[in-house]
Amino acid sequence: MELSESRLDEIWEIFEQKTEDAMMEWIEIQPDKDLIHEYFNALIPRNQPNPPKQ
Amino acid sequence: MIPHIDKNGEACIIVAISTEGRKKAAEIMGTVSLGNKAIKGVAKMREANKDKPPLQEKSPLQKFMEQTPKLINSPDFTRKIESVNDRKVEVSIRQGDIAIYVDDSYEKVKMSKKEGTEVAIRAMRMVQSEVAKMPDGTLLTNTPTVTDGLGKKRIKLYERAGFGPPDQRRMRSVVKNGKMTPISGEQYRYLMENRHHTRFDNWTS
Repeated sequence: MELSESRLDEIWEIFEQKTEDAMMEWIEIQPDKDLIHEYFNALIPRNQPNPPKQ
Repeated sequence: MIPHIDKNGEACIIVAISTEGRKKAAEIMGTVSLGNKAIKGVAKMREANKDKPPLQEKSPLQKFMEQTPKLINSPDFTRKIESVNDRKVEVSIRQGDIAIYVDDSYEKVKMSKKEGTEVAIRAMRMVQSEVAKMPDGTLLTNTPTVTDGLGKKRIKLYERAGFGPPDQRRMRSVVKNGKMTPISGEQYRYLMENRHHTRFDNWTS
């Protein structure tokens, strides 16, 4: 499941307008908050999987 | 609007509502035709331009260049460090390339999704505040990681932040009025070919 382009527009508009704390509060009451968290969490790369043990 | 040939033989158009306005325009432009003589002027314009190719509309790339400040390098290195819930968040811009580190790691350390969002939002604000200090035309780049399954989301996030679409994985942005604006690979190459830059070392082609 992905956020739609119009939803991304809305999220980005909120990001530009709100303070960090207000933005976090806003995310927590959104019905698709898990998707929004995934979206922002994508900014920092995940740890690469460990190489297989010999 | 009245077409004219000015004293240098160049075609021009004068906008004048009143007779007084026309006289004033004639003084300024040194026109040789006015009012009813406009038709004669048009004929002269046609004659003067008969061997010239017709005016062509500007290409989207030309228009982009006109609307874009000349490219310049970002400062060689800037670094900003802040703390988010005891996490060290660092934004470094090295030769225009933006990198974000958490607790000195380029990769994500263990944290909850909510904490990850807080870190990401702060990091983007830090980038915005660094960019706000940069002069118009500063070229910024980043090469998003795509090997961890989050590449598409990451690219979308960078595009919203003001980067152009990936061009051989590299995304580019030009600073305008303290904000990042997107530039595609094609647009970047066009500006470089037309030397639309100043004090520019090609760190980031």
